[in-house]
Amino acid sequence: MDPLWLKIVHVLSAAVVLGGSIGIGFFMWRADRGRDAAIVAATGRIVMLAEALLTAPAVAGVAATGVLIAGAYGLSLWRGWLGIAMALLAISGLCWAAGLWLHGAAWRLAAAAAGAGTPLPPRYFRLMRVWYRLGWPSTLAILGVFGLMVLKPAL
Amino acid sequence: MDHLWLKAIHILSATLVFGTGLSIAFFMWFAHRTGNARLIAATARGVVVADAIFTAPGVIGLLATGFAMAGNLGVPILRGWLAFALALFVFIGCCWLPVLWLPARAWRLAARAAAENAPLPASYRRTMAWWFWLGWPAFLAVVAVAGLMVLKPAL
Repeated sequence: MDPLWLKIVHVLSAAVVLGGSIGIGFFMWRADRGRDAAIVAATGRIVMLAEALLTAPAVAGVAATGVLIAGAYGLSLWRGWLGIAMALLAISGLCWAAGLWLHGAAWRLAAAAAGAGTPLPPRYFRLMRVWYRLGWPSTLAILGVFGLMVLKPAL
Repeated sequence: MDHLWLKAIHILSATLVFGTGLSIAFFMWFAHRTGNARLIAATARGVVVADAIFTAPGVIGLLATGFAMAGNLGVPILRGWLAFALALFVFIGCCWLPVLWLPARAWRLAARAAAENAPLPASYRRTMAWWFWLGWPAFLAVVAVAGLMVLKPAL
């Protein structure tokens, strides 16, 4: 396939990875701020759906088209600016995987509290605090990758 | 400013418009599908805020960097593929402006239904139908603009 057609899919997928994650963090943060277990559990469920139906396919799309585009231009994935981008993506991916686990554990607590009509337990907020904190390095790493992809500096 | 930095900001702005916009629509749609007036009211309120703090700055960033880049390169903005992209941009704007007040209206109607413990009114369903059917052409037009920006076809 023409690398430019792959590039369209690559850019749109990357926009869903970064932009979608910003939306996910925003809606979860608003729900958590309200401290209403029913709203938190229901919003948390939509967050899981968004990770599965938006973020995961977009990550797969970025990776597949990225490897194909690099191949089309004969670029090594492990050298120069592309190597640094891969390292940043690994950091972001680790934060994301940890975030999926943390959010799953927190969501079960929220769903139990919503079902029982009790307030959210302190452990819920402890888990989510780590989830939000992990969002920062993950987002900054992706921003760095965006910069590298556009500037393609000689490194 | 250096052209590539403008391009990086341009792509990040497009990420806010497309990626965050898509996740905003995702949250609104899945909240809507639950039929839970309290969740819908909380989410629609978040949509109004997210449109103001993510989508609106993204649109401004896109236009500012887009015009600056076209100026740098001496590309006439009312000719060829760029003219098509701008026409689509105006079309997207026409779909998107009502999308600003439709969630605000959905929020008020859902919040009232939640407060009165009443079912969601028919006016809420109509509001969401408009939101849904204006969102699709805008989404497809955004994808088309991204395609034009990458392919830059001779038109």
